[in-house]
Amino acid sequence: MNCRDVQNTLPSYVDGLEPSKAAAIAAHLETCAACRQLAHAQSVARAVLKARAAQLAPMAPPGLRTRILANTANQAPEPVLAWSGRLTAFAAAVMVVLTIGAVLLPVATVRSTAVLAAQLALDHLKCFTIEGDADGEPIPAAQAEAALKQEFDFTVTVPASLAAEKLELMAVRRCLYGDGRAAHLMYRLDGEPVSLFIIPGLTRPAAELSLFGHDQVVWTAGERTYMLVARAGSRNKLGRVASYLQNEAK
Amino acid sequence: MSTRDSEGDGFRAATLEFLDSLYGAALRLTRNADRAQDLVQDTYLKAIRARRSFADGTNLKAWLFTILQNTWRNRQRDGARSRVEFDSAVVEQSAEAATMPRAAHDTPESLLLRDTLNADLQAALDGLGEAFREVVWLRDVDELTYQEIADVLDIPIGTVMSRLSRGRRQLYEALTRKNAEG
Repeated sequence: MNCRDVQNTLPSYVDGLEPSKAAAIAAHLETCAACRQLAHAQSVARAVLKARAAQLAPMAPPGLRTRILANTANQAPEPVLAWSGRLTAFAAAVMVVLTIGAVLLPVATVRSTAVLAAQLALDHLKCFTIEGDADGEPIPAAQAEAALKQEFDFTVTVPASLAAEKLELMAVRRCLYGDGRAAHLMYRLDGEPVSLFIIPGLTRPAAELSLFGHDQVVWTAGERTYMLVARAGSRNKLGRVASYLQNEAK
Repeated sequence: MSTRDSEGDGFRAATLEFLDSLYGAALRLTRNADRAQDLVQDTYLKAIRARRSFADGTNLKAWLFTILQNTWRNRQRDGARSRVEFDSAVVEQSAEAATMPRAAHDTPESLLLRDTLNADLQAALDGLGEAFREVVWLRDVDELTYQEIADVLDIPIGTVMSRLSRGRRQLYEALTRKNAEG
């Protein structure tokens, strides 16, 4: 190693970050006074700073913390915009369907149920994957019902978590679909995201669909359409949970 | 909903652990207590709003420093305060000229540690020039990794190494000089 090589790596050598080169650098320092002096300067400067850091670092003024707490209270998180990194071609396909769907939607056919399923699959994906709305702890059904009532005057009996099926109620939110009139109940079934959408004022025939890598179960009760969405392959588990939810949700 | 609020509160509490460090960084950048407080408040507001962009398992302190630096850079760019931008290359060259290795005898570490006054150390740091001081501080006081420093300051990792090397050397020489003077 020559002086230039050694000097280029001196900071990381002094910081102990160059184990593979340490022996060669140490050997060079044995024979080269100039490099040795530089290495010495590096390690002394670092040692002095570390030793005196506490005395040098200023303390934030007492009022600053209070002002920050006041400023940042109830700040809703901004959505993460890294779509490309977190969504796949699936989302692109759904987007296309959404565009077409906007045209087809008024016609209540089997096909329009499929369009609805595609839209809700996107919302399902968006809330779980992109926004992480259901990353916290399970919540009681009463809390979900109160939130639905208070935030969009929507009276619904929210099915509670069901330990026997490993079903956990995670969150409720307003859904993008239908001008925000629909409710989105977010569950985890054995850890996997499951959504139950409730759309008032809409009747769709009961159906089981498999679209865009997701399974959907649709039913109608009391002037509301319900759609259950989960990743494909969970049909059996989903069927059991669907009957539970059909009985509970009113 | 309440689950989301409690998540936000936990995140905020975690960020406030670094309030003193951020205030120190803001003070070094603005050199003014009022502007430093203002910069820190702005940084916290942005950080809390952007909390979902923080990747779990990465260094929260480095993430906050990055927001602070970006906020500061944007303010300067927006002309909130006129200020002469240093040209990176010129800074490196002048520092190179000023700190060629000297054959002077080494001052033992123990002597410098014992005899250096905090005021002298502060003066030596102030004399470093912003580009060098920040790298040295982020490494030796705040203990960020080289990559984190590169991300925070938006400079290549090689520049982090060279500024660290020269910054430490200048600091050492300033302290040694002071020590020799008495």
